[in-house]
Amino acid sequence: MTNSLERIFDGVIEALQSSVIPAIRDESARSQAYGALDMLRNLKPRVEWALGPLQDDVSQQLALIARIAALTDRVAPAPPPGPADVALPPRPTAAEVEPMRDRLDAYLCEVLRWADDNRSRLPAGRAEEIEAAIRDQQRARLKREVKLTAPPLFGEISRGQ
Amino acid sequence: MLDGETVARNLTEFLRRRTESPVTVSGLRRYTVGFSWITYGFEAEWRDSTGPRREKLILRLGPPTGLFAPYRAFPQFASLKALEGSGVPVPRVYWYGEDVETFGAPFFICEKVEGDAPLPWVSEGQEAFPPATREPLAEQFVAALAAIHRFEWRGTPLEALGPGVDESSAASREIAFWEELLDRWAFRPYPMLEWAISWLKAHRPVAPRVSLVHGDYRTGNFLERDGRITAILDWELVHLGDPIEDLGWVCMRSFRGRSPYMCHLIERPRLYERYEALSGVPVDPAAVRFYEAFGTFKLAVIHVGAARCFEDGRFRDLRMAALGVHLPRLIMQVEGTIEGKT
Repeated sequence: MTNSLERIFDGVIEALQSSVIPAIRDESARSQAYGALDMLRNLKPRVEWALGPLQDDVSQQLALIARIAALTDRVAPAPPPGPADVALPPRPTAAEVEPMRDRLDAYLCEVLRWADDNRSRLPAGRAEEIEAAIRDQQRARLKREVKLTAPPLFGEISRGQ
Repeated sequence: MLDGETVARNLTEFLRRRTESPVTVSGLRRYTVGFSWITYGFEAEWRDSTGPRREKLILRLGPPTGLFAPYRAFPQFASLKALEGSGVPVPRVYWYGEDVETFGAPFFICEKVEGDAPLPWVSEGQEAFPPATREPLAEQFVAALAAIHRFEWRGTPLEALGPGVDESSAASREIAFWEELLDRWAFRPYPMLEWAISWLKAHRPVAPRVSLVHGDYRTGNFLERDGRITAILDWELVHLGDPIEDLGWVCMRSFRGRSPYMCHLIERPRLYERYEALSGVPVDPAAVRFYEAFGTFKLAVIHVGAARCFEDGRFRDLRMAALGVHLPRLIMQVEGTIEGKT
C-alpha cells in the first residue's frame, strides 16, 4: 500500500462523514453508513499493516544486500557503504519494520545509481548483474503486492456510477 | 476551494465585467471527471454586439491543493485558442486568468461541447467499442493527433510552452521533469523506478521534429457524439516535444488492458501506418516503445503524486488514495514495457 494506514482510515472516515452520509437520502442506507463509520473508528486504533510480508521484505532485502556485497567485493570504485543498524528488536511491530524496509530500499537505490554511474569501470557485466539481482527482488515483492490488490475500479471512480 | 454558491456568484460578476452586460448564470454543476483540475458546467446569458447570447460553458479551475499545483491556465488556454480552426476538434475558449482573486485558483472558461467521454477502463475481455463505431472513431482519433503534431506552433504564443527545446533535448527534458516530480512526491524510495530512470536516460531517442504534444492523448480524453469526435479535452500536460511521445502514450497497456486495440481503438500496425500517412512524421517502433515505457513511468509518478496529495491532506479526495493502491501493478508494467513484454 502506498498511503499510511492512519491516513487511509482518517480519509475514509472523513469521506463518509462529510461527503457520503449527508448525501444519502434513504434512512436505512444512512444507518448502515453510520454503522460502517462506527466500525472504522473502532478498527483504527486496533490494526496495523500485516507484519509477515514486511518481515519477508526485510529479510529478502538483507539477503540481497549480502549478495551485492559479494558482487562488489574489492571492486573500484567502492560501492556505497552498506546500511548501518539493520537489526530489528526481538518482537518488532509493523511500525518498526516499515521504516527499516524503506531505509534498505533507499540503499538499493543508491547502489543502482552507483552501478549506473560506474558501468564502464566495473568488470564487464557486473553492473547488469547487480541491477538484475535488485530487480528480481523488487519484482517478487511487487508480485506479492499485486496478488493482494483487488482489480481497479477506475471506470466506476471516473464515472461516479 | 470555494463552495458552489460562491463560484456562481463570482462567475456572474466576472462575466458581467468581461461582457459589460447584465449576466445570468444558471445550472452550475460540478463534474466528477478528472483528478486534477476541477470542472464546472453552467449556462450563461448576456448581451453583446450581436444581441442576446445564451451559451453552455465550462469553467475549469486548477486548485492550489491539486496534484500538479501550482497551476497555470495559460498553456491550456493558449493551446486551445491556437488550435481553433486547425482541424483539431477543440472547445472554443473565451477567457482565462492566473489570478486567485476571482475563483481562488487559475481558471479558464470554454464552450461546453456536446458529447460523451468513453472511458478506457472496461472489464477484461470486453470491447470498449463495437467494430462499426471503433473504426471511424479510430480514424478520427489518429487524424486529430496528426493534426496536433502538424500544427505550426512557431511564431505563435505556444513557443512559450517549451523555450529552447530541440530534437535532441526533447526526451531528456521530459525525463528530468518527471524525475523531479518523483523526487518531490515520493515518500518512500522505489528501486524499480530508479532503475527505470537510468534505462530511460540511456535509451532516449532523438525526436523526428519538435511538435505540440498533448501529453495525455487517449480514450477518456475526447468527447464523442453519434460516431464523431467532437472535442479533444484535458490539455493539462501540453508541452512542446517529441510527437512520438503522444503515440507511445496511446499504446500504453493502462489504456487498453489486454485488448489488441491501442486505446481500444486501433491495432498497433494500423496506428503506425495511419499516423505516418496523416502526420508525415516517420514512426520508429523503438521510439514508440521507449515512450510507452516513459509514459508508464510517468503514470506511475502521477500515482505517487496522487498518494502524496492524499497523505499530506492537501486533496482529501479518496480517489487519490485509490490510485496509490495500484502503484505496484504500474511499476511492474514499467519494467514489463522496458523489457518489451506488453
